[in-house]
Amino acid sequence: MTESEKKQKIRVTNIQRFSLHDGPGIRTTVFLKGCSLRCPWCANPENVRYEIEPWQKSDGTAGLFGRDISLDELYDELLKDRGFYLEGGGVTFSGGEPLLQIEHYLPLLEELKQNHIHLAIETALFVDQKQVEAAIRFFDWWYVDMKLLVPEWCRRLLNGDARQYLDNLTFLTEHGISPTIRIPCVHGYTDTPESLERIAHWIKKLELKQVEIFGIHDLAREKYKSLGREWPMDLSDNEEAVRNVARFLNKSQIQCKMIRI
Amino acid sequence: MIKNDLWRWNYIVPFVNKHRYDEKGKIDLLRHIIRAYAQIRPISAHEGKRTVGKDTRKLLETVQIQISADSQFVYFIDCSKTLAIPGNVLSNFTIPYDKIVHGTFDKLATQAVGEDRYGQEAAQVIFGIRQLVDRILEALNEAPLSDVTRERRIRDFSVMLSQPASHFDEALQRILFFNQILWQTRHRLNGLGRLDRILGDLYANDIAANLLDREGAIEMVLDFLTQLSRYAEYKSDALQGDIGQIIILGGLDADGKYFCNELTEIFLTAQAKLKKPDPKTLLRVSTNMPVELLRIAVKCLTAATGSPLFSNDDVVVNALLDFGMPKEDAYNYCVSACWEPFIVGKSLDQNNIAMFDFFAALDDLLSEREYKDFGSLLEDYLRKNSDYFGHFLESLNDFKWAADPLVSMFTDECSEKRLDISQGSARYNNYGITTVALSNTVDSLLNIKRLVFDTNQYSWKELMRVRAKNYDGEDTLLADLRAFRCYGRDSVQASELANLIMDALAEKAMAYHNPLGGTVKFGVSSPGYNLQGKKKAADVSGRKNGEPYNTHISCVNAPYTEVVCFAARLNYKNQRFNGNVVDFFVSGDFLQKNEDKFVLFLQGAIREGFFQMQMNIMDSATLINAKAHPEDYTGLIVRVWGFSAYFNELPESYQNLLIERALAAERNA
Repeated sequence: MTESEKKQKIRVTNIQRFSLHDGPGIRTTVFLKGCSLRCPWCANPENVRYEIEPWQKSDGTAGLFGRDISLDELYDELLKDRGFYLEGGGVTFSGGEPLLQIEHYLPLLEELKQNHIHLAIETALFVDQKQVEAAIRFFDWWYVDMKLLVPEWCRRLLNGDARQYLDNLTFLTEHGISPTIRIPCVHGYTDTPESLERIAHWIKKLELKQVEIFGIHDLAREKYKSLGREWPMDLSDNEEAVRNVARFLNKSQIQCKMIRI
Repeated sequence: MIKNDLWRWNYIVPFVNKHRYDEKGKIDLLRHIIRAYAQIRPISAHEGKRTVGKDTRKLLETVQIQISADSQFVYFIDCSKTLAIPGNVLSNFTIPYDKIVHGTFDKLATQAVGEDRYGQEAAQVIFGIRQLVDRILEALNEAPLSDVTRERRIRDFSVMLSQPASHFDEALQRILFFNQILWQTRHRLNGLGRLDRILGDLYANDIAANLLDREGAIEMVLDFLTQLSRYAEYKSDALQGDIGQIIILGGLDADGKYFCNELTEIFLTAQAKLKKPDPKTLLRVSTNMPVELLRIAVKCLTAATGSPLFSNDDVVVNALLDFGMPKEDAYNYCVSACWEPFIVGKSLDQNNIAMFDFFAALDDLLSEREYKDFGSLLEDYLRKNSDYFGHFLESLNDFKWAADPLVSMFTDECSEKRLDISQGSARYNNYGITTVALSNTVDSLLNIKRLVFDTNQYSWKELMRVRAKNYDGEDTLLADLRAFRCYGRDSVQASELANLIMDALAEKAMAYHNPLGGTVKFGVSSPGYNLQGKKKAADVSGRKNGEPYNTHISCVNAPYTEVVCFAARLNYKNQRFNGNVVDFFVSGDFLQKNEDKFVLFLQGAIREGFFQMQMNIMDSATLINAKAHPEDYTGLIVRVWGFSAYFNELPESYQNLLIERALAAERNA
């Protein structure tokens, strides 16, 4: 990185070392702030808005979600656990939507790549294709969410453009990337036959081999509260959603793995 | 009517001290005495002047023989008889079992006996041991054993003293026999040594001759471990489970190759099956070791008995070489009961004889005067701490060791010099001490620096005033002090300060010589973190009056990798290798679901350079439930300091501490 690139800043909420579920091996995961979607079941509400947000817990403690960190400082942070990045371990960029800020941390990715650090990304792909294109050469491992592909639902419930998503996913596969697809199982949303038919269709069409499904959880309930919001979901029937999704994919002869996030 | 050693001030005072700060202290003490020591009588020779040798002989001649039908091995301790030896009996060590597995006891006996006092004392012990063997042989004829087992044990005991062992089971029986003699003769915390190395050839021979298969060997080792786990009440030291029967597995050789064999795996597998807190295992690890062995070790961890403890040869051996040990010893190290490196068969080293408190000097300084700058405070602390350490070391000179003809026979150079080991005739005659509160001291100093001198958020007087009031009504400050704890984290400032404080101690340690010609070693892990903390006023790390000090090298706010990186920055040379353990809490569920990644974590951690590491596999919900409903958790095992124990048997303060640490680890995961 040049001296001016080192000083460039991006906005993050957290840098988590010893991450075991965000890619192969042991990883450090950077959570970038800001997302293009507004999924009602979001488990990281602090990462949704780009703006730095104040939080306050019921016990009176307070603080801010989000901080700007220079690429230089972030690079040092990400290399602290380098000794543990064995057998594919490395760094994962997550969020929020990590591709939204990609233009601002390309020099960091370059530096990490040059130092043979394995790079993974967790993205929903609801971004400009130029941002996907910029990322392609850096990331060794892609997690791509697949949520709602019914265009109207996607727009209304998630604030997303399903066409944009599918174009980007196709673009990825055309560039030889075989992402791991992660499907959140949300009762009444992603587990309906109409939604699942489209999901199955695209998984088959793009010949996506790695599919993971997971049930949503309410571990972020306190975070919502601290942001002055209420956790909006009812999870009472959600076990059923996981079963529905698994059953449907199975019937469609799509192999999937159940994971916990 | 109570055990003889409780009459001795040098035993009873520390014992009572260990318990008096615990909520259930008095009950524990009473229970301990009543259960373990009721009915016990000192045995002493009646003819002529009493000596350790004569008393030992008399004891071995009179212990009651018990042969259980539940085991293929003969192993018993007569809990009603003990020795009445004046002075401190050597403990916390391992005898070189290879000398009686591949060599013979008779050879050791021949070297030891003679007309001089040393030889006469040895002769008495030898006579007692011979008598015991003969009496066991007689008893075997009547014992409720299967014909095959009886025949084998008669075979073993017939040549127990005169011939090297020929078979794997025979060697295990032989180790059990001498181990029981050690316990019977008042030695405490008796380790087992490098059993995979000692027994590897006999195991391989029996396998090759089709006398044994791997599954049979696992069952046999499990039986062996089960025998050692008996008499837990009799064997326990300060707390139930503090027994110290540690088995050392694997290890780096001087040629850079890592030693392990099938037995290494078998012992780990049997340890996992045992489901008892003791005996326990320590796995010597290295970057050169096979990953598969780490995988088996992680599997063993999931059994949640606290074993194995990991000792990183890449760091430990270097510290021993730096101490001046020859390669043959440094690469062959074992440990005392917990983790303190110990050279088997060549040492008197008593590795846990006293505990030094890093916070004591700071506590006094903070009450004495006001400081205008951090430099002066640090300078004064280093000087005062050094002075305290100097006085502390002087107090070690008062230790007197009981004569020990039995252990002398097993220890190199004693028979050659015709001098009992208690007189300093072994190659190594060092003392080992443990320390507490380095973490609390470092964090206190850094908090004072930040709040008083760097940011001026508090005046010296104001901060000391709230400390003196135990931070009552100062929850925000307390939370701030805790949030800024740096020990165990990335903070270079914290690791540098820790090293600086230890450097000053190391300087004193290196200049110290004990009356036996040895020196002193220290480390930053100690059993005393709980009890010593109870005696001390609030510090400035966020610890209130009487709360426990931080445990070993740990930090509840940091991810595991961060703590390991911190531990790797500490300096372990210059005699500071007497156990330096990174201590983690890991939920069993988390470990089981991520076994592969924990293997990677261990690989990375070894490479980073931790000294030693132990893991407590437990979740807070289980511990909280166990405290509320002890009857449902009679088998729940937890790691306490260097040993594991049944959760129900622990004093309440330890139970609370373990629950708090489990909660913190889960918040962090």
